[in-house]
Amino acid sequence: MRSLWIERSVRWFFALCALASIVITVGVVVSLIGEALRFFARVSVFDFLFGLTWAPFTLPSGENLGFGSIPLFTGTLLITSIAMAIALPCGVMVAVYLSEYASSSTRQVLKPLLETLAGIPTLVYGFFAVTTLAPFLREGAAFFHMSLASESALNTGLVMGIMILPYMSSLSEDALHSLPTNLREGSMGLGATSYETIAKVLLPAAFPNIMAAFLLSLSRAIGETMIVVMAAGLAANLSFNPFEAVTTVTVQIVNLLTGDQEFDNAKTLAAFGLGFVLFILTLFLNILALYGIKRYKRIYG
Amino acid sequence: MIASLSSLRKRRLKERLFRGAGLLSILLALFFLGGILGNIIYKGVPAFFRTEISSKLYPDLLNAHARYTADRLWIVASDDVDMYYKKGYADNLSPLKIQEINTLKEGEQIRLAFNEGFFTHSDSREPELAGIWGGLVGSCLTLFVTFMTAFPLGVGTALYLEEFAPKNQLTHWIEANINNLAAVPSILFGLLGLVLFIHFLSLPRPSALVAGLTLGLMSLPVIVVATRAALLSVPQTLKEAALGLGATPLQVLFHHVVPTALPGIMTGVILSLARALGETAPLLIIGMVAFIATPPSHFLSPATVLPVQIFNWSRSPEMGFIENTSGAILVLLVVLALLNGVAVFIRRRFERE
Repeated sequence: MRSLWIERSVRWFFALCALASIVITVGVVVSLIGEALRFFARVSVFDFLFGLTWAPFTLPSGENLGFGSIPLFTGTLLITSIAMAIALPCGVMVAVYLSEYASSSTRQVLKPLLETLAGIPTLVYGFFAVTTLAPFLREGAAFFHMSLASESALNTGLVMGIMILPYMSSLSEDALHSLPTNLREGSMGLGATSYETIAKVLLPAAFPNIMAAFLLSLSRAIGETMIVVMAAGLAANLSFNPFEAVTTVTVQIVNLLTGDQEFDNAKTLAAFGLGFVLFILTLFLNILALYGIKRYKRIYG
Repeated sequence: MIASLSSLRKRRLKERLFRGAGLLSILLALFFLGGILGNIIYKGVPAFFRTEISSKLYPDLLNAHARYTADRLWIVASDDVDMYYKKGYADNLSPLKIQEINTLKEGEQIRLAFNEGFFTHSDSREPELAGIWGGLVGSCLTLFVTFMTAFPLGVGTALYLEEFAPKNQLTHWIEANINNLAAVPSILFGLLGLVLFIHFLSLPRPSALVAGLTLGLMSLPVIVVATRAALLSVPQTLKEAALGLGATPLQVLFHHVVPTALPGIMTGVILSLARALGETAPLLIIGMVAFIATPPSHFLSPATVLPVQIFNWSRSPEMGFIENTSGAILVLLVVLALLNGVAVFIRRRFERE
């Protein structure tokens, strides 16, 4: 009887743990929605989502200057596009090389090195972008008689791309690795070169998983904060020129909340509005990557 | 014949180009890895040394019975002198001062010594006196709170979902939710911490408790996912054998399943703590950006953590703080490397097929 009692209480304890985790999960959503709703009570959703000016101040008269988040999202888009333009091809090529070309001893050396790159805190990437890469790029641009802002999207996107690269490559490598050997053997047996096997058989077969890797990497790039806080600009420029400084959603969230933190003004609440949109966006990408892609997966072997 | 030969050559060329592209991508990644680490080491190592200037003691003027070991006293130089002596950066010094320093050099009255203050002092407005002790203590306290909340909750949740919970639509939904939460940007956990702990519970703002709880929220789903993966890798036959020998479900769990999965669980927990240690964004959101010149004495006292201190230093205009930033990053990277090393060691040493 006693053991039964213990058995039951342990089960309850674990159930309570699970319950707490669920409460936290729901808490993230509820608190974000709650504060976002308070924000949208002051600023209309339409103005927020489609407005072109971002000047998050409320005048003493109660008039809002501008809570249009379009420049922030275009800035995020510009920087993440540059980042993914590096991380996608390089990440896939690194994965191809590691899984199809490299000998196992080479792989044993290279993989931990890539993991090291993935383990560096993004704060360090940001510091590198500001102190080393930005001056270097500026001098490079000056050599070609071009002007490059010191907080240029190019600099930020480049460093972010390097940060995302190991993540992208490790997910893509898993995708290639999970393909059965007889796909390779069949293709090679028909006389195809390695390149032809990879480009015409393996990559198309792994495409849904590589797409998922791309979406997960993109979601990580969009939510990345420290690199952009340190290396990107603060001014909300509506620009697609990679040589100019743009700002991002995460930079503005940090900027709005470091300073006065009264909960009853639109400026602070705007951070929650931005956070909510960011949450929905990354959640959508993650769900698409984890579940939406399943539909297109084929079973080999 | 000739046509097929040239097409073969074309195919081989493509092959070589493709392989080269793969190698190039790896080299790009390694180039940046080397660039980042080399740059940090190059800029950071000088932070472990400081410039000191000697002042002669006057034995005949001092108390005869007082014991002194050296014939001179070394005193920390100002940051401008430090930068000039280390790197020849003279922008902030007048020509007169430079002349003085050069005289000191000739008389061997200026030296570089190990900067123990960098490890034992807390933050300061002056780069030559600032140290990382406050940040280190804050990081330890914070990580302790994170571990104490996220570890039991995360492992408990995973055990429940994997071993006890009925497999139905609800648990499936919960699992999907936790998987998604593990991929949510860290900055959003800062927003959650701000609402929950500061706005709702009114806990003191820049404290290790709030920081630790916030990072705990962030680590929780990661630990759940890692623990579940470790539990899943325990072979079903092991459980069935133990059950067949008459063990109760609880005995099976604690005598067989958990010990077998433990290396995997510990690896996951250590890696998630390493991530929490290097995390900055959610802490900026909960207001942990203040300048704090004393190490925290308890969980509720004003605290800063190492990454936040690095962030604050990186925004200071003084040359000395760039050096300090790199030095502090170097310390952070060494600690992270140690944590990762421990995780790899556990995985290699204890994990069985």
